[in-house]
Amino acid sequence: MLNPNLDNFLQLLVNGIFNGTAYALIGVGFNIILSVSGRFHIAYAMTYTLAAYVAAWVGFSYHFPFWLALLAGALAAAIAGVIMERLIYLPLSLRALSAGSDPLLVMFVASLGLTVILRNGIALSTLSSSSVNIVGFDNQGKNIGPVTITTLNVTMFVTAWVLLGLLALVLNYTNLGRMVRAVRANWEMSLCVGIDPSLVFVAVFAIGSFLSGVAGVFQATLTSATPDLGLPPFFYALVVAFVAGLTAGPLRIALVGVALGILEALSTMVLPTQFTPLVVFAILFFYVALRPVNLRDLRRKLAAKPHASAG
Amino acid sequence: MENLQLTLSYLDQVLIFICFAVSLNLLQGYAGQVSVAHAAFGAVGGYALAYLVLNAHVGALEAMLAGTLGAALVGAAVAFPALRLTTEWLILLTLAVQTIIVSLVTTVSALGGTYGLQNISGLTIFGHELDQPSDMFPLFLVLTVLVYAVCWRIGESPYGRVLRGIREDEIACRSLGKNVFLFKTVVFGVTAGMAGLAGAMQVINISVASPPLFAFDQSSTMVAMVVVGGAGNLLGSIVGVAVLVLLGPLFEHVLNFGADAAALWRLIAFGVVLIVVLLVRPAGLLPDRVTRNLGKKLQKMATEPADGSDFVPHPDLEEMHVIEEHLGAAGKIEVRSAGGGRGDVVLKVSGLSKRFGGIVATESLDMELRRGTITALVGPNGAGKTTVFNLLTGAIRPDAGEVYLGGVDIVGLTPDKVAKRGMARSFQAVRIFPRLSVLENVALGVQHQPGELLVNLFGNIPRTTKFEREVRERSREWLTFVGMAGFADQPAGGLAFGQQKLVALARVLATEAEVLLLDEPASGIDFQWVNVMLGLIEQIREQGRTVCIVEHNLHVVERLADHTYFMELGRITAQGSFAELTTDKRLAEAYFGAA
Amino acid sequence: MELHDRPRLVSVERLKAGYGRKQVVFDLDLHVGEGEIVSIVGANGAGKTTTLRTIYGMLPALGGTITYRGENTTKAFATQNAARGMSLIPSERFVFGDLTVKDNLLLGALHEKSAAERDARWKRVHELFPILAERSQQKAGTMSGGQQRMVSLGLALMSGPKLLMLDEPSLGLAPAVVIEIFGAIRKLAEEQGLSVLILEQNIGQALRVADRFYVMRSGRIILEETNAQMRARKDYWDLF
Repeated sequence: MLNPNLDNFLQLLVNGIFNGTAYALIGVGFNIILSVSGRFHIAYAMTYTLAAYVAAWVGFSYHFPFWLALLAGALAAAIAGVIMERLIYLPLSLRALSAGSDPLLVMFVASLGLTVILRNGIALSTLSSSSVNIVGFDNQGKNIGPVTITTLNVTMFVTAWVLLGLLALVLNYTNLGRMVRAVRANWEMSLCVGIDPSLVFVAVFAIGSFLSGVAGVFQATLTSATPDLGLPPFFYALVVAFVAGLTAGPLRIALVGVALGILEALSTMVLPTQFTPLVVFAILFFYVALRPVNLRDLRRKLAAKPHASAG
Repeated sequence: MENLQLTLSYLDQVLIFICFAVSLNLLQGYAGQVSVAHAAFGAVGGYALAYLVLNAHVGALEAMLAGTLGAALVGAAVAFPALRLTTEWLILLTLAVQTIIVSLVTTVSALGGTYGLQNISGLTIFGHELDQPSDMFPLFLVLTVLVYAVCWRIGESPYGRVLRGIREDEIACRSLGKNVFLFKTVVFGVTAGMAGLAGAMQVINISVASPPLFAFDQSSTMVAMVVVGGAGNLLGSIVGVAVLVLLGPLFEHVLNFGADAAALWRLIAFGVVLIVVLLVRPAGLLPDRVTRNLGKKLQKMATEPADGSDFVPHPDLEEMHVIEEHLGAAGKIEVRSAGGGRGDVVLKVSGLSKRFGGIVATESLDMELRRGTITALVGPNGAGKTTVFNLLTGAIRPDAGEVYLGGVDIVGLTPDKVAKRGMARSFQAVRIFPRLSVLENVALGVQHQPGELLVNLFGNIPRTTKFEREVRERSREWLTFVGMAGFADQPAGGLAFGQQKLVALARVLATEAEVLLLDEPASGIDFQWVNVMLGLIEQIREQGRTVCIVEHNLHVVERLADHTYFMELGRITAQGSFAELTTDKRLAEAYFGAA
Repeated sequence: MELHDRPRLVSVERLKAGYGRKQVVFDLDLHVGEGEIVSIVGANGAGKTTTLRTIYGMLPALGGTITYRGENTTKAFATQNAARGMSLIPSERFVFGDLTVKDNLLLGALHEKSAAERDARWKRVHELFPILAERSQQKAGTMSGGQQRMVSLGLALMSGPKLLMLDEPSLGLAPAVVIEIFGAIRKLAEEQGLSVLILEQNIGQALRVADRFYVMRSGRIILEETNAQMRARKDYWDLF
C-alpha cells in the first residue's frame, strides 16, 4: 500500500496527462490556424461545440455508433471552419484592406460575432431540451494500481495521439504539409513558388477545426453538450498555442499542452481547485508580459506578412 | 408608473453601456489599443463599491470614487506589459487580465464567490435614496454626460491627436518627440477608471456585484460595439450601444418571443449586425470624418488607374519667400537654429559601433554635421547607412561611441527625447498617419504643445486653445512651404506617394529640429517630384538648418551634398566632396564591383 | 545565334507599377530573349524589384502590357505564372528557413506532374550544387548565406522554369560563391535555353554573366547596353 500522498500525486499526474492531451489537441488545432492564416479565430470554440451537438444528434436520432458519431461531429466542425474562412474571414480581410482598416481587428471582431451567433443559435434550438448527451459510449473505470482511469480517458488519449502523429506525418512528408509549413515560414516565398495561400488557409481551417471537433465530442461524452462547452477550453487552447510558439510543430505544441495539464492538476495539491484557472491565466499573463522582443519576431514583422491578401 | 420604471430601467442600462463603450472607444478607437479587459475594469470598480458599502459602510459617492480610482490604478498597471505589444499580443494580454480579474472575484470568498455580493441597497446620494430606476436615472445621466465630456475633450484635442498618431504609427510618433509609453499608460489608466465608474453604476443599478456582469462576453460585446459604432467617433459608440440594447425590447415586446428566446435572438441579431456592418462598412457605422473621407477616397481610387497625374506643381518662388520671412518672425515659436554660425559643428559622432550577433553593422564611426550644410551618406547595399540613422536617433542603442548634439552626449536617450533635443528624422517608407488629415500630420510635428498634457487640457483651457490655433497656423505655413496647403483637410492616406513625402517633410520641419536626418528623400518618386524635393531641401539649407541625407540616387547626392561620407561594411572609408569621391577608382570598385 | 535575332520570351511595354498608390515604375519597356541573360542595374529604390514582382504577378500592374511566350500575362497571378514557367527568387528571405533543404527543393517542384521530370531536375540541381546533397536534412535557415542562395536556386530550378528572375543574387556573398552560382546560371542558359533576368546593384558581378544591360533610375530605364559596351565604360557614377 503506497503512501496516500503519493497515490494522490500519481492520480493527479495521470489526470493531468489526460487533460493535457485534450489541451494538446485543441492547442495544435488553434495554433495551426493562427500561425498559418493569421486569423484570431475565436469562433474555434464554436466548431468545438458544434461537433458535440452533431455527434449527440446522429447518435440519438440515427443510432450511430460512437466512432461514427465522433467522425460525423469532427467532419461537421471541419466543414463549419472552412465555411467561416471562405464566407466570412476571406471577404472581410479583403474588404478591410481596401478600406484602409486593420484586418486583424476586423477579423477578430467578426470572429466574436460568429461566436455570438453560433452560441446563441445553438442555445435557441435546444431551448426546450434539458440536456444533450452523447449516447453510445459506455464509460467504465478501471483501477491500475493506485490510480483510476476510465475507458473514455484511454480512448481519448489514443485517438488524440494517433491524430497528432498523423498530422505530424502529413506536415512533414506530404506536399500539402510542405505547403502549409511553407506559408507559415515565409509567406512571400510561397507566392514565389506558386503556392495559392487561400487554398492553404482552407486546409488549415479544415484540419484545425477537425481537431477541435474531436476534442469537443470527447468532452461532451464526459459531461454533456452545452452551448458554452467550447469557451473555457478555447482559453486553454490559446495558452498552449501561444506559449508553444507560432513556429512549433504539432508534437512540441502537444507537449506544452500536456505540461499545462499536469501543472494544472498538480497545482491542486497546493491551491484550492477554484484557483486553478487563475494559475493558468497567470502563466499566460506573465508569458506575454515577459516575452522578449527577439530579432526573429522583428524580422517577421519587417517582412510584413499580409495574411489578408490572397494570391 | 410601472411602464415608466421599466423604460427608465432600460435607459439606465443604456447609460451604463454608453459609459463603457465611450471610454473603450477612447482607448481602442482613438489610441488603437485593443482591449478585451474593459468589463474586468468595471468589475474592479463595481466590487470595490460593493465591498466598501457592505463592509465598511462607506457612502455611495465615496465608494464610486474609490472604485474609479482603483480601476484606474489597475489599468495603468496593465499598461506596463502592454506598452510594446502589437495587436494580437495585446488581445492576448487583456484576455489574460480579464480572466484573472474575474477569476479572482469568483474565488476570493470575501467577494462572495460565484454568487457575488448581494443586497447592495439603501444607498443615498446627497440625502436622496437610490431605490428605483427613477432615482438612479438622474445620477447616471449626470455621470454619463461627464464621462462623455471627458472622453470628448481628450479625444478631440491635441492630446487625442497624439493618441490617433499612436494608433496609426507609433514609431513615427516617437520620432516626433512624443513619449508614447507615457501616453499609453495614461490613456489605459483613465479609460479603466471610467470603466470602473461604469461598473460601480452597474452594481448600484441591480444591487448585486456578481461575476457574470463583468465576464468575457461583456468585454467582447464592448469591443464589438466600438468597432461597429466606428473608431474615433464617440457618437458612433452611442449608436452601437443603442443598436444592441434596443434589440432586446424589439424581440421581446414587439415580436412577442418568449423572454428566454428573445434574449437569445437579441444576441444572435447583434452578431449578424456586427458581421454585416464589418462587411459593408469596415470602418464602422459612424467613423470619424477623416476615416470616412479616406474610405471614400480609396474607393474612388480603386476604380481609377494611377497615371502620374497626381503631380502637383510647386508654388512659385515669390510666394515661398514671403512664407520664409513669416516663418522666422513668428512670436513665441522660434526656429531653433537662431544662434551659432554657419559651418559650426552641430552633431559630432565619435567611435560609434554596433554589432548584431556576429554581424558588424557599424564600426568606429566618426562623423560631423555642420550647420547650414547638407551631408550625404552613400555606400553600396549592406553598408549600414540606415543603421546609422537608427543609432543617432536612439532607436537602437550603440555598443560603443558617443553622439554629441550641441555638445551633449545623447547616447541612451529614447527617440522622443532625441527629437525634443533637436534632431529629427524622416523615414524612407514615409510613415505618415493615413487616417489623420494632412494638417494633423504636420501638427503632430510641433513640439511643446500644452494641449498634449491632460493637466493643461482641463486646467488651462485658454492657453491650450490659443496655442492650438498657433499650431494650426504654423502647420499651414509649413504645408505652404512644401506646396501642399491645398490638401490640408484631406486624409493623408489618400495622397499619392510623392505628396505623402512632401507632407512628411513638412512634418519633420515642423519639429523645428536643428538637425534633420532625411532617409532617402528622393526614392520611390518620379523625376518631377525629385526636383521639387531637391529644391525644398536646398531651401532648408538656406534657412540655416543642418541636414544629413542617406541616398542611393547619386545625381541627388551630386546636386545636394556639401560633404559626403562613403560607407562600406559599417565603416566610413572615405569622405570629401562628391566630385573627389567619384575620381577614386577604389571607391568605384567597392560601389559597383567594377571601375 | 545573334542576340537580337532571338525570339522574345518576355516583353514589357509601357509598364506602370507600384504598391497600391505608391507608383514607382513609370513607363517601362524591356524584353528578354530566349536563352538570354539580361541584367537590370540601378540604385536602391530605382524600381527594379517592383518591376520584377509585377512581371511575376505578385503585384498588379498599374498600366502597360506584359507578354510572355506570346500570351498577355498582364493580369495573371503569381500562381498562374509559376505554372507557366516563371520563377522568382527575392533578394531577402529567399528560402523557407524552417524547412529542410530537401523540403525546400521539393516545394520548387510542386507544379510538376511528371515524376521523371522531377527526378531529372533533382539530379541536375545536385550536380550543380553538390553541397545540397550533403546538407539535405539541415534546416535551410541555419545554412550560410551562400549555401542558402544555392538552395534558393535549386528551389527555382526544380520548377523547370523558362524564365528565371533573380533579385540581387550576389548580395552579401563571397566572390568565389558568386562565381560558382553565376557559372551555374550561365551553363543552364546555354544548355537549356533558360532565360534569366537579374537585378543587380553590383555591375561588376553582373558583367560576369549578363548578355545585355538595362539601367534604371527613378522608375525609368535610362539606358540599354550590351555587355561589351557596359564593360568598356569609364565611369559608372553617372548611371546611379
